[in-house]
Amino acid sequence: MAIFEARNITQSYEGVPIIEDICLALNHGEVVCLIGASGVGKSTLFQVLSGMKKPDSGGVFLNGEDITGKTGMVSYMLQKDMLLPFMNVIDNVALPYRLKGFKKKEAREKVRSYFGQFGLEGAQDKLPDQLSGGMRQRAAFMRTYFFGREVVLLDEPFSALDELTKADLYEWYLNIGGELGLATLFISHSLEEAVSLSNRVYVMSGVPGRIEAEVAIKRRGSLREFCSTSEFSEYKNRLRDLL
Amino acid sequence: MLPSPWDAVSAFVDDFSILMKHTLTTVAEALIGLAVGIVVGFAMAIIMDRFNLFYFGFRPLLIVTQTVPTIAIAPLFALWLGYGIAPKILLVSLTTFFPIAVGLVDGYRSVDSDMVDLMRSMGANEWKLFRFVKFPSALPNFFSALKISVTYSVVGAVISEWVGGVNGLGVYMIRVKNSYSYDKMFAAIILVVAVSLIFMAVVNILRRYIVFWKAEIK
Ligand SMILES: Nc1ncnc2c1ncn2[C@@H]1O[C@H](COP(=O)(O)OP(=O)(O)O)[C@@H](O)[C@H]1O
Ligand SMILES: [Mg+2]
Repeated sequence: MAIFEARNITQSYEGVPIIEDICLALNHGEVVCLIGASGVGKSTLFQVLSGMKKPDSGGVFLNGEDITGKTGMVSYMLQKDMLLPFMNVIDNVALPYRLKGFKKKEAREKVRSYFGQFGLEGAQDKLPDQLSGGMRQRAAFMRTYFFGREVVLLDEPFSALDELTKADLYEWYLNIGGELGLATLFISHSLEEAVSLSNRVYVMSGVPGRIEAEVAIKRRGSLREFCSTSEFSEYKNRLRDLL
Repeated sequence: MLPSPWDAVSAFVDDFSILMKHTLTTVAEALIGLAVGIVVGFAMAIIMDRFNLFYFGFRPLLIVTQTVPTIAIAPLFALWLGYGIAPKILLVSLTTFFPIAVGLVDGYRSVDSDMVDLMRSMGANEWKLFRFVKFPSALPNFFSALKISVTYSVVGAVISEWVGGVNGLGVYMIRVKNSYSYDKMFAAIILVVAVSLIFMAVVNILRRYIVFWKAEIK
């Protein structure tokens, strides 16, 4: 059974329908991509899924429970890393614990041992501005992780990064997502990214935006190998045709 | 008939203890007024941030009230509150709270709305949003405003003393002017400038420690 589900979500802004009748599901341990042209309503859908906005109609369900319009039930991360410039990395990352009421010291102790795993060893006491783009995004992801929700929504998490950093982070994310047992739904407008990372891809298009197709991706071997196979290009072509 | 710098210095030395007494009064008025101004500025900023009605209603009003020259209202305060320290403190707080209130509220409101959404999605309430995001984000604005406010505070105290008082550099200036002691007048002016500069230096030092993540914008 799906752990996270959206049923028939419709949302409009000032009477203009933006997304219509969106249904999607996320299973335990899956990485699923939502792909679509810019402006089609992907971020709007995420605001509904994260509880920031109440949809005009439809519902959001977590383990079968109705969580429509409730924030704090799933982790949510944006394209911009949103690290606070006045806090060092460890305090940024420990912010979810601070929000839960832990003291600064306790919150730090809770996150300290994870820095190696997130590839941020030695960055604890730096300010976000002293990190590279890839490290900042990893720190933002680490903060998202400590929010402690199994379902993770990532809105264009890799879009602001350069090609080489992206390639590294894809592999890193697949590993760590697996280790931590997360179910990820992420937004992308890159076919390459969608095929590289996902078990399934939802294709969104039209005005108002609807989910017009769903493609399952079977990845064989390592990510690096997979990227150079003909299957990889076939998946990409198929998605391109659907968009 | 300008006094030479040497005249001013010797006047300063001659009148040193009297000058220090007056300086102390002016500094006290400026600091107390500034403290009140900061407290009121903080409160106003929070109200304006919280309620759009106040933001759009008060902010333009505040800007209009700022165009009223200090020298024009100082005599009114002396009339109402006498020659003591109260009218000085009132005038200083009135001139200093404004940059603080506007600086802070603009700082609070400049926080990225996505950041606000993200904090809410992590379960932050208004207080935590303020404590962890809005307040620290507004600190650079606060210090820019404070830099303006400290100079206002000294000028405000001196002007207020001009229109009536028993102690303070403004009172001293009026007295020495009336006795044509321009050397002493200059000594007093130099002291006023020095006090302003020291206030600004203190703000700069505090800023460097508190707003450590931002390089100084010149
Ligand atoms: N706050 C808003 N008010 C009105 N319209 C909005 C708002 N946010 C987004 N929109 C509109 O909704 C549509 C979808 O936006 P968005 O969900 O950000 O698209 P995407 O993330 O797919 O690029 C766009 O046409 C945009 O103009
Ligand atoms: Mg978007």
